[in-house]
Order: sequence, then C-alpha cells, then structure tokens
Amino acid sequence: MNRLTRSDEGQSSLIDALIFFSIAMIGSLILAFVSFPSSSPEAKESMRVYGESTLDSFLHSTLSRTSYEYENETIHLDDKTTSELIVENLYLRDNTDVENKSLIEGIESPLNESLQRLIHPQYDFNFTAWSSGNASFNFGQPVEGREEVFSASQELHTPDDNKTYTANLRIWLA
Amino acid sequence: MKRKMDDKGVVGFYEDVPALLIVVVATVIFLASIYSAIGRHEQKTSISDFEREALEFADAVRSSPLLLHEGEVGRFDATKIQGLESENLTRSLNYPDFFYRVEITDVSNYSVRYNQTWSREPEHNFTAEDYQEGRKVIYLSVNIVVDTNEVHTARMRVEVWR
Repeated sequence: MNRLTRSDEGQSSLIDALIFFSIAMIGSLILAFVSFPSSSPEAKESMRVYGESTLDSFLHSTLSRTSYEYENETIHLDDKTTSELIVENLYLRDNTDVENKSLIEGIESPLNESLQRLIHPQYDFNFTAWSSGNASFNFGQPVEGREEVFSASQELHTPDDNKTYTANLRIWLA
Repeated sequence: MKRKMDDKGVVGFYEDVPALLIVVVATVIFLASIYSAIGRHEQKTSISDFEREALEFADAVRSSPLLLHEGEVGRFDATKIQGLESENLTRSLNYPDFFYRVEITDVSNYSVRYNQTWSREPEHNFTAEDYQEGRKVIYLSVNIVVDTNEVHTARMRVEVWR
C-alpha cells in the first residue's frame, strides 16, 4: 500500500468542486429571487376596462340636487346628465360672471361626490374637464408621482356650441 | 495552471469523494431551484388564463340582453335587474364551468336604490379549498336606467372561482 503524503498540489479537485458549488449557489439564489412580472396583460386590461366603464357610467348618469346662484336666484339643474352638467359648468365659467364658489358648491362638489361613491375603494382617481376656451376644473387626488396610471378621455357633444369639451379620468391602485 | 499528475496527491477517498459529494449537493440544490422557478412560472400563467376567462365572463354579464336597456352595453334596465333570477342568468351564459357571484351596488344619490346579487355557488359553505383552482374579482361600473330622467351609477363586482 502506498504511504499517504500531503501536498497542496493534490487539492485541485476539491477546489474545483468548491468553485462549482459557489457558482451553483449563486445561480440558485438568482432563481430563488427571480420575479415574474407582477402586472400581467390581463391585470392591465382589467384596469382599462374598469376605467373606461367608470367614466362612461359617470358621464351618462343623472344627478339630482344640483344648482348654482346667479343674480340672487337659485338655478336648479335637477336630473341633468353628468356630461350636461360638466358642459354647463364649463360654459358658465367661460362665458358668464357666475361666481366660481357657487359653481364649485352647486355643481362640482355633487359631481365629485358622485364619482367618489362610484369609484371602488381599491382605486384612487383624478378627474379633469376642460373646454376649448380657457375653462377647466379638476377634482380627486393628485397624479404626480403615481405609477401605472390608466387614463380615459371622452369628448362631450354639444350640438348648440362650437366649442369642444373633454372629460378625462385617471385611475390607479390606491 | 498546469496540473501536475503524480502519486503525491491526497489519495482518492480524501479528495475525490468529498469533491463528488459537494458537486452532487450543489447540483441537487441548483436543479431544485430550477424546478421551483418553473412551478412559480406555471402558476402565474394559469392565474393569467383564469383572469382572462373572468374578464370575458364579466363582459358577457355587462352585455347580457337580459339586463340591457335598449341594447346599450353597460346600461341596465332597473325593471330587468329586479326581475332577473340567477338561474336565468346562468342559462343565458351557457352554464360556465366555474362558480360566480355578481353584485350590483347602486351608488347614486337617489332615494330608491336598485341593488341585486346573482350567483351560482356550490351547495356547501365554501372553504379556502374551493378557491384552490383559482379565484378572480373583476370590478366594473354600470348605469341603471329607471327612466330617461333618472339614470343611476352602480358598481358591478364579479367574483369567479373554481
């Protein structure tokens, strides 16, 4: 039987095995923490369908108890559709001297409350409407710094007016 | 580095066997992590497929002629909402191969609200095991038309599972 001897040169296969082990462990760690996309195309589609259906439902609903003050008179706008109220609000802002405070309290606030009730609690939103003139109004949470924001817009048709009016809803996961 | 081969090195059992064990252990761990990653990927894909089915189902409810007012998608007739039974909805949707619950919540500022729920559920009380093969909740918004001067906003929540 050969006598056993010690030599550093004889350790090469053990060192190779340790190098292999290290590489395999690094590979395993990478695989363990690899993340597949959390937002699938279906999740984005789901958000798109929700955003579009919500804007559509909001604009085509009617609201009771909306009004504004003008020359010491209260003008009631009961059972008008939301899109009619938005256009009326923008028209009044563009063309008349009705006080903004009256419009905010009498029209924009009920619009805001209606949209807040409609939007599911898992979403935050921002709503903006503007005319081709200078008028615009906005309510909801600020969008700055948000990721994965879905945006839907609709033109509001007004046969009696040459101006165009647009409504935009942006939603994101709260 | 040039390897020197002679008989001065450590004899087999003291070097080659430990090296072999290390290689086997490393290989087993690496293969296990690949298997686990593939499993997670397949689970994601399966959830995604079910999510697509759920979306299609929610869209079918939203466009069901049994509910629509004058055929407009997303605009439900208040009378139809009140009169429709779960069995009729299930039949009109060709008996889907999963369970469902559709909830309509009227969130308008009118005093009369039109809330409704339709479902096709297992007869026993459900447990976590009922959701094993997938569960998805889809949120949509719809209108409920009472008459031309009264159109409500409503949330529609569609939950499907199998």
